[in-house]
Amino acid sequence: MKILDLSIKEASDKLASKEISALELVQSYINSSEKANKLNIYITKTFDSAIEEAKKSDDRRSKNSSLSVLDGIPIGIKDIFLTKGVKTTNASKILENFIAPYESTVTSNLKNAGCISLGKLNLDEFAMGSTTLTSAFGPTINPWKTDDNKDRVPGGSSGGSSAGVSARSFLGALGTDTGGSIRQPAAFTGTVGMKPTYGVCSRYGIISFASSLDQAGPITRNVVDNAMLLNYIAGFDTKDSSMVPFNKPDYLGKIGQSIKGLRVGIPKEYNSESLSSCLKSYYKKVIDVLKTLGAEIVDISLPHTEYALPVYYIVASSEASSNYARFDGVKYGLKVEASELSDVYKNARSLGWGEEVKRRVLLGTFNLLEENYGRFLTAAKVRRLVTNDFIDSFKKIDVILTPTTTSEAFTLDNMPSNPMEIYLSDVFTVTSNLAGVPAISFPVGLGAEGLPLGMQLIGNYFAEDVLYQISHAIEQELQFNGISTFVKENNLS
Amino acid sequence: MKDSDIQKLFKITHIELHGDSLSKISSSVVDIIRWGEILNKANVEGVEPMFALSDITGAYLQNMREDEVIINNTVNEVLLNVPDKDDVFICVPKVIE
Repeated sequence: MKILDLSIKEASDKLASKEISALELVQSYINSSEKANKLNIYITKTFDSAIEEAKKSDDRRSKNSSLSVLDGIPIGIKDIFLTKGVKTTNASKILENFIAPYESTVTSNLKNAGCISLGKLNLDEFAMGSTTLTSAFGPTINPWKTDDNKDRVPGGSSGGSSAGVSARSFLGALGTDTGGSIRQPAAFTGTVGMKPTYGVCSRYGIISFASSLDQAGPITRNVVDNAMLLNYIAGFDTKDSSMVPFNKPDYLGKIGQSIKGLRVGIPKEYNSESLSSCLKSYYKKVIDVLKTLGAEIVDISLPHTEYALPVYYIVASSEASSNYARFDGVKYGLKVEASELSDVYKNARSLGWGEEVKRRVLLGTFNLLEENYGRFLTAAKVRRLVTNDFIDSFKKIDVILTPTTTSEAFTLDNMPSNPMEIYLSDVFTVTSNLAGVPAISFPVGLGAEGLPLGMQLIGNYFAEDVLYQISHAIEQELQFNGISTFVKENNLS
Repeated sequence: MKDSDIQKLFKITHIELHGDSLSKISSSVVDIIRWGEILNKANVEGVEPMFALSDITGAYLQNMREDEVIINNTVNEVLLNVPDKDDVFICVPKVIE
């Protein structure tokens, strides 16, 4: 077995038994990352400091003072997390040279556990998008390809994170999810992505997009690795006032336990016409697997699902337009000299942002105008209805199963020109952000074009451990071979 | 939406667009605003608005930390990002007209 074949769990075990060193592991992933330059996974590489950190990790291990089971594990960080002393661009020209003076809680938690960052990863500009095409630093390419040899998107906005895990540029990555930005890229790249309950991971030091929806989470090759990372990034933080103290379980705790008797809801609203036939058949297959494993399948209804997308786009754009007032060329952002104050603002925002960010700031500002307040208020009321659908459902079921996306990854050269067509692809993911419940995407197989497909499990508040339990059980049954085309072609396996 | 409404949005957001970009973004903004009108179909009578998860999870009320001074950044760390400074002062464009 090659070193790059090891999962986080396996690498951790071999580090502990000193069969491999952190330096050897990190160097292997740096070499692998260099081979993937054309995929444009990184915005900023920190390979030199990673080598130094790997040496320190080995030194700690030699003295039996390792920081955790993750000590020495190479990871990547979405470039939306503030990292002290390392550039944080949010994939935007407006923050091209911004170096944060402090570290986000989540990245700090991983550093304190001994994880080694190989760099900051590409994303859609300001996390607005489902493709990573809106990055000011060029698109990231999906490591999966089909016979037509056309480049595919890795999903977004955490596209650098998902592509990097799939291309074996690092063992795991951090993403953020405001409307599906961890789960959709995971589905498009054959990886596992968890959006935890709102309030499980601190938002301190994450550049806010929509403050009431944003949540950090891990992207990994398999379910166990994902739970291992969540074990370290989750936890109450007094620096994030939207968190609540909660009893953090061991997220690995239920993995391997029988799922017999657990009740899985199948919402009639998600078996939509827009689903590809391949996804429909995988949906059925996973339901059959669950039945075989003894789970109880329950038909449910989430009747306000049809309103979720417009609610999301009103709420998210409104919160963003408010959060982004600080990017004015004075407090933050490009400083472009001008004689008039209004031109300073205008230059920073007009030259610093791409089209998608501008579009959403315009939309959000429209929603927050005094004369349109009724529109925002209605969206907030319908958000309550969408949330109540989940609360009511979880009185009679344990989890909900849905597809993650409606299709396989799109080709770069065939993107819809109308942004609404791209927005509609978030139809299965935005609901759990609105309600704040946790959801995981895991790969189930390859579609008609030979690209990975993902299924999503949505859980009750703080029930991430149950999501890991069930997705792991399905993973073991399906035995999906998640080795991407890029990994095969470059002999990284 | 009238052209003047769109122009007002550009003015208050301090965003300037030209040519194709102007027409493309303007028309998509109008389309998306129209799409949102589907919410008028929902029955929201007597429904309390939900602005954040706090009223479900109980945050804010439970998460009041002690009123203690915490040193997060030193002056030098904060000044690292400043494009134009004078000693420990940050130089910004004139903000009073």
